[in-house]
Amino acid sequence: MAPRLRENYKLIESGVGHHVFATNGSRVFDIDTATADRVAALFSGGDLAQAQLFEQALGNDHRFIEPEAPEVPALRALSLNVAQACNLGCQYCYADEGLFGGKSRTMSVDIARASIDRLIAEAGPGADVVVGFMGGEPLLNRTVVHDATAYAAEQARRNGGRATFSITTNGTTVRDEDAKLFRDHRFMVTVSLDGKRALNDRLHPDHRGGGSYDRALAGLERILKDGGPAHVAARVTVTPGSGDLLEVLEHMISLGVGDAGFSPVQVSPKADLEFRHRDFDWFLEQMIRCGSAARDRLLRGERFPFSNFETALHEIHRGSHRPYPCGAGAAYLSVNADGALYGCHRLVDDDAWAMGNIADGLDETARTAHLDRRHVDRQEPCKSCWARYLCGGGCYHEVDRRGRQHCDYVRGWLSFCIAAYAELYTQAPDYFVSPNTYFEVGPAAAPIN
Amino acid sequence: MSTFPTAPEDPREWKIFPRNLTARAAYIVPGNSIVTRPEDGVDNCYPGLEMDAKNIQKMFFPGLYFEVYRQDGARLAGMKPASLAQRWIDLGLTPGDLQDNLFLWVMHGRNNDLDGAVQVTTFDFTGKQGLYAWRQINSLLPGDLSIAVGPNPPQGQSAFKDAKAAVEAGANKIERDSNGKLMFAAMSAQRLDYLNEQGVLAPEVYDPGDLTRTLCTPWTYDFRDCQCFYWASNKPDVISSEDGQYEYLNFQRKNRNVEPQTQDIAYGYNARRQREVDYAEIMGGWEQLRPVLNGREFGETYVPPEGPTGPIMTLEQIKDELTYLASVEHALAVQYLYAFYSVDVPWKEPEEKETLESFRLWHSARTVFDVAIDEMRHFRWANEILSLLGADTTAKRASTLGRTFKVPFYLQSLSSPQLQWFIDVERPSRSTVAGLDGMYVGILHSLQHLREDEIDPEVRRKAVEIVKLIVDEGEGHYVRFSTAQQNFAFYDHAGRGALPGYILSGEWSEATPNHNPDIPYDTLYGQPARAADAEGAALQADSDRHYQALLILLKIAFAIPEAQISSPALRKAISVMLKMNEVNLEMSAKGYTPLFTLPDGWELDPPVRSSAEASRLLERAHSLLVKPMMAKTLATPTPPPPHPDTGLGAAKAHDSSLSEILDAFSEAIAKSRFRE
Repeated sequence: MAPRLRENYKLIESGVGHHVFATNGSRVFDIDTATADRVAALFSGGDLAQAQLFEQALGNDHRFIEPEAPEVPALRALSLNVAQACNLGCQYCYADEGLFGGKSRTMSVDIARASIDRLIAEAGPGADVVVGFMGGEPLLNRTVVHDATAYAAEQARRNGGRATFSITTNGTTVRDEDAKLFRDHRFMVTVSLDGKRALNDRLHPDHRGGGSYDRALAGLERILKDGGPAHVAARVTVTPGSGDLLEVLEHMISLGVGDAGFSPVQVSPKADLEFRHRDFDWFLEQMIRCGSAARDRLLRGERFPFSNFETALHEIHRGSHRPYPCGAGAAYLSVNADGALYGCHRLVDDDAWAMGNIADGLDETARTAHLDRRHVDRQEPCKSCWARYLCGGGCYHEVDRRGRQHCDYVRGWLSFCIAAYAELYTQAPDYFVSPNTYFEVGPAAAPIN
Repeated sequence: MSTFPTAPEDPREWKIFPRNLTARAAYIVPGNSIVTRPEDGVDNCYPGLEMDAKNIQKMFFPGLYFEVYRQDGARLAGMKPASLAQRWIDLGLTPGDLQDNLFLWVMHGRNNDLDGAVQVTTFDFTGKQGLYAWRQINSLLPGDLSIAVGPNPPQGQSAFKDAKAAVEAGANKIERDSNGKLMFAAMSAQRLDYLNEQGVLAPEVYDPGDLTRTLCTPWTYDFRDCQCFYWASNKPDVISSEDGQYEYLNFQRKNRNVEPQTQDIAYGYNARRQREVDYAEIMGGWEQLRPVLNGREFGETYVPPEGPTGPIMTLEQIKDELTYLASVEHALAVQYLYAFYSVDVPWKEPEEKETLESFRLWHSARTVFDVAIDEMRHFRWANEILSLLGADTTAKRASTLGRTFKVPFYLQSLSSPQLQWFIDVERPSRSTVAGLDGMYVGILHSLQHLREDEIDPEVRRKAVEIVKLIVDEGEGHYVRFSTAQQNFAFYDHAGRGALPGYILSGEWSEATPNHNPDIPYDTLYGQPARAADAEGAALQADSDRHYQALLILLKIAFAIPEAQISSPALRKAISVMLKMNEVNLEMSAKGYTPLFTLPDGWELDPPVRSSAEASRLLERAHSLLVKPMMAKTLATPTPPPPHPDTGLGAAKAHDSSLSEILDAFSEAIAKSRFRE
């Protein structure tokens, strides 16, 4: 018997044939139908010797990911929670409208500057750094966003590197001066928007219960004006009642953003807006519908920037494999209004994720312990899941609060994406090989295998 | 994808094809990739330079050998191998005809067109370079091939036309003029395969050396042209004479006698080339080039210098010697650092817009600083060996330097005599009794002679490694100081005396008589001087406090036997050094000198053998660092150093506030088990 094959390989069927996904190194192989039958038989109880030969045939002779936690990397990215307050009252907000369960606070210029000094000192001479602005709604503390951006750009330059910037905003308070800042400093801007007017206004009301759609759209228009920043993404937060997601997605993309994607509400102060286990079946079905629509349009050479899908496709193509879901607690940290450091912007003010402060420095013990503890090979049930190195074990914030209730969804979505990858790569290889020119040249010029 | 009805039993025979990037990168392709085929080599850069791929195709026509490295065409240079050449002799072509310089005129054979289809083509090579012909030859497919050779240029249009017609008809034909002189020879055969049936280069076609003769190895002519400014070369351009008397000699000079190079050789390309061995000479007589080691030419056979000689020390003597040497490293580090502070250069590398002169000055001063940092490392390494050998570690500072020098420790500006003294100290010696490195060589020599019941072999192995590192770096110091001396010489040509113009003003330029007979100079410059005004006095006090605290922290860290505890502690201590450096830089710019005053009673301070003793010392460091003046910096991290390249490692690792440093040490002391 060779039960562990299922933990390390996944048999996948696509429109162009059969495939084996090898967890180790996230490698994708094509196999013919007869081989697929053999592999299926092997998975359901082939003998050990044959399983070993199968692994040998796939060249599975070294570990792409070490079982030990890597050394804690230097800090490279820091998000500044400049305003722990928000002008909207989104029903589902994990951040409790930016308060994180506490009082409304804003970050001072001094704390913001000291945070940036700390980031650059930790990153080391010549390093490029990433500065993010989070909240709450960061633009409620506009002065600090503007000051910190100019300061970080200058300090990074003096240090021999470059600073890049990102901001997550609800868009409702964006002014021309903000849009200019985003343009001048090549920001990556993420706008939270939940769909068309009716849906958005229901989920995204302001504190008086009024809608925010028109103001958010006006803000988005301002951001996109005159060429816009480096990238603008729309982030749709999905609740079980969000309805037809393809319709939402098409609406979002029609607004002219660089890409649009979904994120299900897993942690919310309002329990009825949180995803429960069974809601994920609906969500998977909706995501696959959106993904199929995106795949078909990409095959026709049309842009359809569905970020969840395109990110997965390119990661699968590259064979991305990682023992962590993200850089939180490692090269990325978040600082609260008072200068205390936490694992990430979702974990601000959570004592379990405290990782030092900007005055005294990073808590290396906490960071080391975090990497040691959260290596996906040490998580249950992750360590026996074939998708573990693509997933990394799931968002720390969601897993800590809600457990791993979304695993079937993740596996289902990744299986779909691996199949879609094989189809796209067969029929439109240039989408992967020359992504920069694919949409100009079109699929007609791409050779068909 | 085609498919079998059933897959074979053995999974290794299953149809499995890697698709994405990681799968493809990890897939082991059976056999060699096509770029390893000899004909895919780029000119004479065939992978690994095993051979010059051009030489393969010089034998493309059976029985004939062409020379292609020529401007005037592909010349028929020989008729070989004899077995294949016989048929052309039978046809009437004689080896004597070759003396008239016959060239490849025209060729008729098969190759691929741009779309890859096979085509039959006639190539006209008249007026073309040899390498042009070679490229066409290289593209020839196996099969029928006809060529014509004749003198350049063809004797009249009709000769060439007739030859071309004969070639296209596949005829074998020799035409001579009325004097019997060859007009052309047309020959038809099969293109020669360069591989035999076993897939190896046909040994009957190529003689040994045929394929490598144009490579950059000493017995090939390209060797002459490979120079270090042009291509990574395996030969030196310039060397010094065996006795060291002549520093710059042309390695490839024709006259093997040692003589100084004249100006025209130094600056004139042609003059130099004329006095170098030429292509033919280097191929025939490459052995006349002498072995070169460490930039120096040796006689026909390199005789390694004799190994170190001298008395073998006992383990106890080794410990004593090392204890002294550690204190010497400390003294040298301070001497070099002090000298560095005396030079009027910016801390940061000058911007490009400034002159070469200012860059040279900065670079030379920086060399002195960098060597000071090296000495601090040696200070640490010497203590590591002491710790390995089970001896007490030390943070003391030697009061006299060197057994042969016997020079008392003193501080002085980087005057010309002072730089000379640095060079003398670091000069390599091959003896165990002379020079500073000689003392380390003596330790090395003695360590290797200790019996296994005297020293644990593992301890010996580790200790020997460290000593070797120190000796090697010492040799580097000599070279670096010597180079710095040459660079300093560019500065201020006219006014250069014992006190060059780049020394800072203020106390740094003050002359004081030298009362010490062991220093061979009448005057010293810039000895440490107590500042008379309040600002200077405050800065000096600040500098001393940091120096003293640093020594105390080093003493504790050295004494911690566990490497995993002492190393992080040492890194913390570097923060204090950075602070000291900042104060000293500020002070120097204002004309004051640092004092480098040792802590009170330092010479008599007992070695650290207990955590109580370590804690007492740490308390002392605490009171030095946490003075009222320092309180403001207690909780704030050290600002990043003024320039990222401090030579002290990344700023990140040393970016600790004073309280962090003291806390780290008290933690280290608590964890460590000191040697009682």
